[in-house]
Order: sequence, then C-alpha cells, then structure tokens
Amino acid sequence: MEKKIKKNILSLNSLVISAVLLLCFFSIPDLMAADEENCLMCHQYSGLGRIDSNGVKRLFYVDESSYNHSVHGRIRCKDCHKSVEKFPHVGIERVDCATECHIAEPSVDRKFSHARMIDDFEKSVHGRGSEKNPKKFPEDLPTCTYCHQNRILVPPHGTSGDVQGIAREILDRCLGCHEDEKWTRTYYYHLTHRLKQRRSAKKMVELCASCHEDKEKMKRHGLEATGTYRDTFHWQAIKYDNENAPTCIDCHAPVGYFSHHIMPKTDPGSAVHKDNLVQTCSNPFGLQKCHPEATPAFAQGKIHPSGEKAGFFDIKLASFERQEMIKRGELKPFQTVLTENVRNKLTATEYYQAIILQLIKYFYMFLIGGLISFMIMHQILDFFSTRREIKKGRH
Amino acid sequence: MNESNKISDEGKYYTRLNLHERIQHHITWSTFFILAITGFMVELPEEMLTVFGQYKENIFFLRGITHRIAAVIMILNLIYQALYLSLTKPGRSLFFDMVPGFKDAKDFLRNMLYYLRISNRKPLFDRFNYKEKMEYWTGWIGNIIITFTGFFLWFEQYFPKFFLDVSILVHTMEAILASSAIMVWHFYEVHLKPGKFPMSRIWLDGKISAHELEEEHPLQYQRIQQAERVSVNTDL
Repeated sequence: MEKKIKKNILSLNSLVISAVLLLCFFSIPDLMAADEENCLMCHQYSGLGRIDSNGVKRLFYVDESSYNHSVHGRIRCKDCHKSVEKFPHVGIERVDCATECHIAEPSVDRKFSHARMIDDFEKSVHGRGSEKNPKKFPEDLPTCTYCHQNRILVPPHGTSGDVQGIAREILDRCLGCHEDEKWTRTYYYHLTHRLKQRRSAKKMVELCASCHEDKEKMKRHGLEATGTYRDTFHWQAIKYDNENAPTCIDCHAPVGYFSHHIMPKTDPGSAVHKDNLVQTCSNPFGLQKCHPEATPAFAQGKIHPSGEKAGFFDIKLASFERQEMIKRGELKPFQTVLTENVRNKLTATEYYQAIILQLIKYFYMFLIGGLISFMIMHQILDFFSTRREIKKGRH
Repeated sequence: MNESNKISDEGKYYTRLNLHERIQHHITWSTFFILAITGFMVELPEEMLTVFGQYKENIFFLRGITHRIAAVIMILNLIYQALYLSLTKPGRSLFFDMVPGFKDAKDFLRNMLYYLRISNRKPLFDRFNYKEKMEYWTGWIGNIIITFTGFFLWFEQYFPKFFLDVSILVHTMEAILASSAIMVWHFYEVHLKPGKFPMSRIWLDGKISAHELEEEHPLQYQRIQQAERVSVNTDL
C-alpha cells in the first residue's frame, strides 16, 4: 500500500517537475531579480516537494517575500546550500550553520558565521560532547533548527501568522538619514527582532517540553522528565497568557546567562546551581524583578520536582498513573513516586521533604474521600428518611 | 403535657439567626464563593481557558487581586465572629450551645438507627444538632488552616521553599475539602432537603416557624415553651 502511494507520488513528482521546468521558460525575469543564482525559478512553486526515503514529507518551496524579510534575506542560497552544484541536485548535504558566508561581520571585519554560537552551544548541556567523550544517543539532542525554525521553511498554509512587526513611524525615523529603504528595513528588522522573544511564553514551554517531558528520552540520558512544571504557579500564569511569568528559559538562562550555554545544574556556571539560585529568583538585572526579596531559604529545593501537588482535575489521572507503575512493579503501594534514579540524586533533607509532602497528600486524599463519601451517604439516608416522614404526614 | 396549658403557636416565628449572625453568614458565603471561583481558576485545564479569549491575561491579574481582597474580608469576618462570640451575650450563648458533647455522639448513633429503620424513635435535638456542630467547627478549623497557608503563599519570599510547597498543597486540598463539603453537607441541608427546596428562609430574615422549630430542635422548643408558660402564669 505504502509502495503504491510512493509510486504514485513519484509519477506525480515527475509530472510536477516537468510542468515546472516548462513553466520556468516562460517566467518573468523581473520576479527573480533578488535571486542571483535563479533558484526561485523552480523553488517559487508551492507544490515543490517529495517524500524522502524515510517516508518524511519534504517541502522545498521558498516564499520569496518571506525569504526577503527573514534574517537571512540578504544571503544568497548557495552561501549556505554549498553542496548544490548542478541540476538535478545530487548528493545534497544538510546546511551547516557554522558555514562562513560572504557577509562581513561589521564589528570585527571578518566573514560572518554562527560558529562562535555553535561552539558555545556544543559546550553546554545540550551539546554533543567532545570527540573523545561523545554523548550517547546524539539523535535525541537538539540541533540549531530544532529551536530556530527558519520561517521560510514553514509551509505557507496552516501556520500561525507570526510576522515580524514593523512600526512604520519608527522606520520613517531611520529613513530620515538612510536613503535605501530596503537596506534600512533589513537593519531595522535586524535589531527589532532581537528586542522581543519570537515565541510566546506558552510556545517556549512547549518547545522545551517536547523533549524534556518525554520520559523515555530523559531516562536514556539519566535525567528526570519534567512532569511537574505545569503544576507550578509559574505555569498557571503562563496558561493565562501572562508574558511576564517565567518560562523554562527565564530561570535556566536568565539575564547574565546565555540560552545557548545552558549548563547542568551541578555546574557552577548554571543559573540553577544552588549557589546562583537566589540571584536567579530575584532576577536583579532583568526587566521583571521577580522575587526581589528572595532569601537562600526561599530559593532552594526543586521548583518542578516529580513530587506532589494538590489536584482537582488530575487526581484520577495521577492515581491511574500510579496504578500503572505499581502494575509494572516500579512502585510499591503507598510508596512515593520517586524513581530510584531520582532518589539517589536527592539529599537526605529533600528526600524526607518529598515524603512529608506525599504523606500530607495521602492524608488529605483519605480525608476528602472518606469525609465526603460519609457525607453523601448520610444525606442520602436523610433524604429517604425525610421523604418517609412527609408521606406519613409528620411534617 | 397538659393540652389546655399549651400556648397556640399557629403562625408564630422565633429568631434563629440574629442580625449579627446573618451579617456574618452573608459575608462568609459571598467571600467563600469568590474565593472558591478565583482559586480554582488556576486549576482549570488549559483548553478551558479559550473561553476568556484575549482577556486572559487581565483576568489572571484581576483574579489574584480579587482573591486577596476577598480573603482579607473573610479574615476580618473571622475576627468579627470571634469578638461576637466572646463579647456579646447572644454570642456567648451561641458558643456554649455549639460546644459538642457526649449527647451528640449518642444523637448520631440514634439518628443512624432511625435512618436505617431499626429504631422508630428520632433523637431529640437541642438548639444545634450534631450536623450543625460538625459543620461549624470544621469550618473554623479549615478557615484557620487556609488563612495561614494563604498568608505564607502571599508573602512567599519570607518563608522557606519547603514551607511553601506544603502550604500550596494544604491550601488547595483544604479548598477542595471545604467546597465539596459545602456542596454535599450544607447545600443539601438548607436547599435540597425535601420540604426545604428551594431554600430555607432562615439566612434571609433569621426566622424559623414554631412548627419547624418543634420538628427540628424539640429540646430548644420545649425550653422556650416552658419559659413562655412561666411568664404567662406569672402575668396572671
């Protein structure tokens, strides 16, 4: 069945390609003025794509105006797609973001490249490790494009319309001195797009959670899946679109730290290292002074542990998960939901604190369950008794 | 009881809640509703928040402020109640009538037997029966717990993290307990109970009919009758 579909798609592809080639001869040369290598001759057609050998749908369409407005709008295609030599393209390699391009870096007059950023990133907790000591499961680790989804690669239909904002009155001030509007617009974008987080707070959490809430993946790396960020009050505010509430990045790479250089919490260079927590919570250099009076006692312990939380809607779910874990033999009944791995990393205090929280939760669950079912039974009995009395005419 | 001596109580009403008590009750129920709604709003699943549309962020801000204002009013009301209980005569009488005793345990067991039709005799309740006493005192305990944990969470930077973890757990759990208890225990008793629907009028004008009083609080009714008879007799 799958093969048949592939065959159909292949024949469809060849049809599309021939149609595209035919069309290219009649296309208007004006349209590709910005595109020196004339890649858009073919890539301007939104149907251009195929299903690769892994069965993944690939789209090769490039929207010209989107591209021109993107951060890379002044860079020629071949500066990044270096392996494209001939048509039809064969032996294409992935774009390396560390590639030097023909644009000069104005502050030091060197060829521009993201290599510096990537070096930093490779040293961080998300990096691939050194050549001698590579990390296991490199396929789990994020690449540049995992987080920085290049806007031109996003298909034009069904995407959220997060177009960079441009304030005409501010751009006009620039144009007072700078003559070329296109150039000015580019540098305006260059600055303004760094003034604001492109992702909404919620999308930011979703991005990090896409890996860090994956229990299997985290287990492979000896990490604890973040199951309880959404139990914190921080998330409750983000849930209500409060853009000042902290996302993952705001605590793991606050002002003074660098999101490409997130370190494990055991490293003294990490924002969540126990010595840096007071500053991270008070955030004195940020626009938002979060907990300005944070004390060492306040800024300790785990913000999103695999611990306990009061739940109204999730009680059933939590107990279901617990039942599953008991079935799999990972947990004894009434035992805390701390896996062996996590328990070993906790200090004695943290461990007992987790147990106390668990006991409080159990106490309340039994209290609520017991008391409310007693009340319901009592009132049902009362209901029938009162109705009997009314029938007898005693009331 | 001598029938001729009994004073006719057709259309006669007694005061069950005086003005102070009614005001206290009105403040309590209104702040309780506001606190429960604004509190459980943080527990709503993300998908349900779409109903707020673009006003989400403002609603979250107002939610926090409203919760705190209502909380302060509720706490002031607690202080008012404590002063009323200790300083005024009707307050002290309410307090002493509310103290649970051995009779309440007996009443409970007898009532259960009556409900299950094992016994035919309904226990005779005094001014407050065991249901009302239980509700009243658990209300005080819950209120105090939730007040303290709420203050810890409000002034979070002065307390250690573990304290706050416990507070947020206890605060939410206590809220779940209180809300479900109110819904099951209190709403049934004063709204849904056959003969009471849609609501008992005591909370509005504080009056209870003599008939109702005799039915539900016979010991208190007898005491009142006794007192009235004595006064009638001395008048003659």
